[in-house]
Amino acid sequence: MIRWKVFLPVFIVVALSLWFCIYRIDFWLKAAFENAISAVTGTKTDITYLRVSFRNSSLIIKKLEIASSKEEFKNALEFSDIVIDFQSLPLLEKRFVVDDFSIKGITWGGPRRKSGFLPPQPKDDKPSWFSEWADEAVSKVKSEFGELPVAKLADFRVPTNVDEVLTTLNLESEKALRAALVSAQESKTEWTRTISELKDVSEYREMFSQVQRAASSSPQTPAEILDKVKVIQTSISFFENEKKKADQLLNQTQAEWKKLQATYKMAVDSIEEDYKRAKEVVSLDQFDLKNLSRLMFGSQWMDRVELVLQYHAMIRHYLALMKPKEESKVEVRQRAKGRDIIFVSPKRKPAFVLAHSGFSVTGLESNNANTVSQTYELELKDLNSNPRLFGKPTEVDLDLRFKNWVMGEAKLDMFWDYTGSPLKDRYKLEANRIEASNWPVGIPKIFPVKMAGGVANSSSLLSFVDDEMKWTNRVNFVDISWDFREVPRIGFVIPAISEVLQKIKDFFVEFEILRKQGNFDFIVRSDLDDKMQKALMEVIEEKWKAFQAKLKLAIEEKVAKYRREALAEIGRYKKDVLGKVEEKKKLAENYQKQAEARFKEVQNLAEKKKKELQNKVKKEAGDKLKDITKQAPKIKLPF
Amino acid sequence: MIVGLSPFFAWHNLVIFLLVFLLRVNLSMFFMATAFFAIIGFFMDPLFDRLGYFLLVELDVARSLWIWIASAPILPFFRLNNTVVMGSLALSLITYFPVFVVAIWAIGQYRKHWKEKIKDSKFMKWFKATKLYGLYEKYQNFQEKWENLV
Repeated sequence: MIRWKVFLPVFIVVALSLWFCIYRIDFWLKAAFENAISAVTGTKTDITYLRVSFRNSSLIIKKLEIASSKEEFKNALEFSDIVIDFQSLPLLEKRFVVDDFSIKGITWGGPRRKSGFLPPQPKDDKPSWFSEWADEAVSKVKSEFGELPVAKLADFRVPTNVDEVLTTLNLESEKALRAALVSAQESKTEWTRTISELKDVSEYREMFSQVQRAASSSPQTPAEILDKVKVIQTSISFFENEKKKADQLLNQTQAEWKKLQATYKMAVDSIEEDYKRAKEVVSLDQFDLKNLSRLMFGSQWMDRVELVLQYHAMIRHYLALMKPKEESKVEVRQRAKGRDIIFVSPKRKPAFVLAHSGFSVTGLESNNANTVSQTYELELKDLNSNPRLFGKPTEVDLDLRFKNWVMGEAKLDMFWDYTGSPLKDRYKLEANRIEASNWPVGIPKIFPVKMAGGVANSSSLLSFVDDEMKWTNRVNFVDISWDFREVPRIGFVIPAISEVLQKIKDFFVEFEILRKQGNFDFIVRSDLDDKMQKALMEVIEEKWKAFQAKLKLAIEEKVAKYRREALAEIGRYKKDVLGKVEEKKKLAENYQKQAEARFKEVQNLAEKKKKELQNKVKKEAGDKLKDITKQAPKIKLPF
Repeated sequence: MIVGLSPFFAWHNLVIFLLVFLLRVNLSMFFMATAFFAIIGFFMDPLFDRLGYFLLVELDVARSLWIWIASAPILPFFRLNNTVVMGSLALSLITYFPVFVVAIWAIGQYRKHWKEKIKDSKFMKWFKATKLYGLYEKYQNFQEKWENLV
């Protein structure tokens, strides 16, 4: 049944194939590593030497060069030696378990012999890990930057022409004073007409002369008395009526007068309002100086944010390809042919595990092993290819110390918990003694300021829970010297800002980026804004004091004519309307009093006459009675 | 049939190749069948994917077996957790016996009724005259010499 004659050649062929595979694995792995790193970095990657030893269970890589994306003959990063000690038996289970991992010697920006540029590749629209929401949010914030009044900073100039400002203002006080004048004129006309409806003074005199006449001659008969009383009483009621009318009119005209005065006062107050508005037109509030730090540091920071968010999306994509669901027991990964089913079970183990590894790497200056300029201490904990299967979060701590470099020291702690739902990750970075000259700042074209000296100390905390994000980054700038060489000396505000900024040495800038329930917020806080605003306002106030005084005077002059006229008209109203009504009232009162006095006189006279007549009648009656008594017969009574 | 239906670079195909070479199997027939079933397999990939998904995910009773295969040494390299590999392998194993019976019967029928006719047909005469057949003859001669030598 078995072809024994074929067995030997087949065995030899299989053995040779196996030997060839083992012999070639170094080349294949080398190419695979180079291609994989190049795919991520987008630049050429070269490995000078790679050796896999199954006997020693180790993978040694010597001189791993990652080319710079900007300079053709420069490396971005270069590692001298990388040693990975792995376990052999798990390889049979298609697992790569790393016992120890170490890197020796790291160089930044070293030279390279061959070009590091890759042949132009057809660009994919977007990589598979591309984060749509990050792209959308960052684009939105960037478009908001476009709407900030940046151009106004350059265009703004101290106004010199008062009339120009007043014309744009369209003074409200002028209108109000004119309205007050018209109102006073109309009221005067209307009330003068109403006053004319009162009886004339000549009528008062005529009426009073009747009273005088009635009172002048003493009445001889009761009928005469009655006539006189009637005449005087009619006059009194006439004057009383007139007085009432005048009184009523006085109340009404006084109310109107108060109204006119209030209108005038409001018109005068609006002069002050106009002045305030005029000041606002020429103030710096329109530039929203509270946002100055956002303008100076924000847009550059957004570029970094975009980069970090996309790198984060990439990490997530590779570490948590499938968003885990509590109830699911399998993960499905799409392949070119069919689908791979990953069973989530306590018995399963991830394909790649690096349980713990801690080592330090020294950075070499100019690739010279004798000159160490950087030290990196890296601690990796529970690095694995399938966090759900592994069941433990991954931690990476990196301590960096630099000598004569753009940064003094930095500490980066990274934490990923993709073992369940929700996905959590946290990145904490503290970087000290960063050369401030490397920190991007300024408003392109308008205010391209730079930091020439000083240091920045930065602390940053970025945390994610699923797609919800919070990133707080605080940078303390110390002993900053500014470089204004490229700043154009245009307008008024830019030189003023430069002047103020020159004096500011220490300040902080805090960036906060939040993503909550789909909303993305970018907040920039800084004590620079308050300092700048205060100092700028002082400079502006000083420069504008004279102009503002001129502005006030011009407003007052412009409304003075109407103010004067309105005041005069109100005065005339008082004199012509109120004065007349009061005069009429007084006159009516006076005549009424006099008429009443006359009436009393006539009454007294009538009383006197009445008494005289009574006495006379009494006497006559007495006399008559006496005569009758005398003439009567004397009768003597018998008793 | 198994080699033809399942993806060519599956590791179980290597095992079958070794068996084919070690055991007395008609190699011509093996390669012909592989080519024939590879064409069928190309069109049946969606069916293999669905069948594989059913077996791997929906068939709960088999779950522990798949987990064991995924965790055991060497077996993970066979990529049995891939739906197309699993589906094609399962279908070819299920249809193995019926196809075997049908093939035996069909060969008998062929030998009885068609062998001579085909041998004398114009097509076979033309085919024997081609270079390809010449190469096959040379290989056959080499094989005979090699077997005699060994």
